[in-house]
Amino acid sequence: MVEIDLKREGEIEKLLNDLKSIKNPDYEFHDSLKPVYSTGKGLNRKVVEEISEVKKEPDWMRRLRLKALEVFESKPVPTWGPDLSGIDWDNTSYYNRPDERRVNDWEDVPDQIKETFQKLGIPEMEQKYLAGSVAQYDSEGVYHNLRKVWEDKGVVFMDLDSAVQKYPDLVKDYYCRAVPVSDNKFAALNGAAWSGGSFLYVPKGVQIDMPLQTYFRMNGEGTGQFEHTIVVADEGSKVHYIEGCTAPRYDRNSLHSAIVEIYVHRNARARYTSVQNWSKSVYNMPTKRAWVDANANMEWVGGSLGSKVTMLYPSSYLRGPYASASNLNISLAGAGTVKDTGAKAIHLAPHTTSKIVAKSISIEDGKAIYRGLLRVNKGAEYSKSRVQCDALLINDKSSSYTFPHDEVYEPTATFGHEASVGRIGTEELTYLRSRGLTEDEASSMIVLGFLDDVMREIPMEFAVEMNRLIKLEMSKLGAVG
Amino acid sequence: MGLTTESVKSLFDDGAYDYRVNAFKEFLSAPVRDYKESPTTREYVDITTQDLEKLISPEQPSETGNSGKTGDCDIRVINAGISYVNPALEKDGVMVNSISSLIQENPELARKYIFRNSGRDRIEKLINASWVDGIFVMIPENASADITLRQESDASYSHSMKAVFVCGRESRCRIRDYYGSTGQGTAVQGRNIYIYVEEGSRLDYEYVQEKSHEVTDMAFVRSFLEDYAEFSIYHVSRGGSRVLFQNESELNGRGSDFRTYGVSFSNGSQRMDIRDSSFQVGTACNADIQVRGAVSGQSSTIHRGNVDIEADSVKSTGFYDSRILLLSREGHANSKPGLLIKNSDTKSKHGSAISDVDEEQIFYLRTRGIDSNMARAIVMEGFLGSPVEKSSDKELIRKVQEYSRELLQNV
Repeated sequence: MVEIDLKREGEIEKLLNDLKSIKNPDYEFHDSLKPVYSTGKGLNRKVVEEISEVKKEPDWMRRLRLKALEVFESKPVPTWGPDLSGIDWDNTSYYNRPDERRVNDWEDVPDQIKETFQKLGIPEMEQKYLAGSVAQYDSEGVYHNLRKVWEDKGVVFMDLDSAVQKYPDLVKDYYCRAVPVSDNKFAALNGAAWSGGSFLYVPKGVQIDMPLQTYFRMNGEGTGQFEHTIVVADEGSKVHYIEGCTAPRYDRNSLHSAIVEIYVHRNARARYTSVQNWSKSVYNMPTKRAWVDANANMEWVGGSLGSKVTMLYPSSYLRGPYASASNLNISLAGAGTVKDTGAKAIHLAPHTTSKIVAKSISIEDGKAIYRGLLRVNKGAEYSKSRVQCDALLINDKSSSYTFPHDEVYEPTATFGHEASVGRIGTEELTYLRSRGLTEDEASSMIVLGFLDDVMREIPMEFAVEMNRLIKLEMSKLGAVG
Repeated sequence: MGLTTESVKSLFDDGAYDYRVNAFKEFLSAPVRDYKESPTTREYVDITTQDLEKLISPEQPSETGNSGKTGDCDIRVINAGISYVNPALEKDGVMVNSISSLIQENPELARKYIFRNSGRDRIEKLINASWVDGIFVMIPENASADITLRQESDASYSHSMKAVFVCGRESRCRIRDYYGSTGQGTAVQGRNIYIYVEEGSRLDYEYVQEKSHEVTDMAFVRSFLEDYAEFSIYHVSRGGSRVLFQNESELNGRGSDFRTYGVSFSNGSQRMDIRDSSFQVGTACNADIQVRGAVSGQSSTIHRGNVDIEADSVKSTGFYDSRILLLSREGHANSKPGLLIKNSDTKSKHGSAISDVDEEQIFYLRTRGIDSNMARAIVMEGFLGSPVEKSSDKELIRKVQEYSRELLQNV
């Protein structure tokens, strides 16, 4: 894993120079591409059946979609978190197909879509760092590829739609088991309208030493993206799966409601990294959950940078003895945005361990909220858990809220939780300035230092992106650069 | 619920009628408090509508209590009525009155302190609509007072009451509030305790709840701190079948200081919801909350509370720390500390921990020749007694030690 050494000579200067050259967010451009097929606005039984029919799905999937629609319609919009009144349910377009083809060579991807992904650097990244890659544009995966060496070892990596056709039994074994559609309104919405997402199956004992990546791009205005991703690490395997996502900014709000299910079987290791950089017109409401079996390990590493409102609480269900999970998350609540993020760890078996580290930064009137659940069930003997959440407030208008929820039903368990909220300390600033740094440089160094223990776990490409975005947000205030 | 604004009038047609009706209307419109913690509102101590109906429909008490006893306290309150006041208090200028007579005799003071606040919690509002009577204690400016109050209620008498304590400017006070039961019964009882700590004054308030184990008890301690006021509360919760205790301080004054040191003991099938929160509005104010708990038998305890620092409360600090010993396999322990920070010029932290007695500490003591049971007792006593050790009141420390030993015997 690449570590970012911020103390390196000249690093600050280099980053500040980078920053000065950034004028606009890189990812908020949009294409004039029109979808080849769209179900139009709104979601109802007819639309759901239409999606299923267009995809030529088996009957069991069609029935599951319709059942999910019923649940979606019966559940109220949650009111316990951020204000979701800006979601225009009736005027959102729930399915948009960008192209008829799904290819495994960038050359075959339609020019306009290829250009978009080239601007985002995806083909280049795939060539350099990745074992496989899926690219999704609006509702459909347009490209998927897996290096032959892994294909030969039985690894399956493709968009979920293709997997439903090609490996229906395997998909059936895992689809909506960890996240049933009845879990919450947004999971039900995904169950009814899902399209795209990835299916990754790593067979027993196969250890993939390079990450696999899916990149999601939402282009249309007032659209929804509802991908469903399933990652299965079979016994003794090892995998690192990365997700990145961006969207242009529009006046009308878009909706992203994904499901990510990860199954880490006995003695396996899985790492899921996501860097979310949706534009500030996107409501981001994914449900992410992992089932972790005996002696297996699950790592969640996340950066929530973009979006208007995010509600995200990746969960680990530690189902077997000695299962472990860690969750490292950075949230950046920029001007006018709400980041309601956190993590859940449910200890169901003895000797299980979990660690949650959450860091948030609120800038201008941004609101960062940590909301988490730690539960140790009866019988999860000698389990251990540690939760740490720290928040940094940059401006007078910034705010931070922390709502951890800890439930322990097992007397042999040990659990600790700590949280702190503060601003950049005068003492720290004074110290750095006494070493010759300007106030802006010192502030920048402190902010990046605050995030360092999470940042060092994020792959280099994404860490650089996150550094730049954080600096960009701060530069708007004149705090840096 | 059977109660209407008309029936409030027929039940409680006294000088506080307007206040009661207003509080009742607020109760009806108030949402069940959810602390913003979870998708569904969850009550950890199940208080039903029937319980609330019992609370607001008081019948005549069957017990009169120890109305004759006087020596062990300065003020004795039996079933919401004052039965004894130490004459020395009057000499020191301390005003002690029942709330009902204060409303009749001194409407100005009643307006200032009794009708000033209708509460923030839903059940607290209901108690403000339906209290039977209560006690008003006012310590004058620049005075000092050390008051022991014994409040006893018949365990079969469902009712609610109010207590209002005013600590005048620049005064120094200590109030020991022992809150117990007489007889047997499964009554539902509520108590609102409002404490005004005026400019520059300091109050140490000890609240020891030792009610009968069948009674449902709901107590709301709300304090209002003016400029440079200091308020320390030591609370001990031990009795009651279902206990809802809320301690919330509104730090309105500059440089005000709020400290909470709490201990809860739950055993058998007791359910306890212990809430400690600060609501900080004044500049440079400080809140420091430390709560400890022990859970044994099939009981459950939740510690929760918010450090809420408002936008104008710059240069303020807030700390919340909860630690619970989970001593049995059937017990449940939860914690929900919250930080609500609305300006950047503050420092705040919270921490919580739930575990059994630390085996390493027991091992250490055993290497010093102390047997296992004694080692466990020492560690537990030290853990549970640590918050109240900040008090200079030996009686309080002794009581917590006694409860700790009692709990250990049950474990």
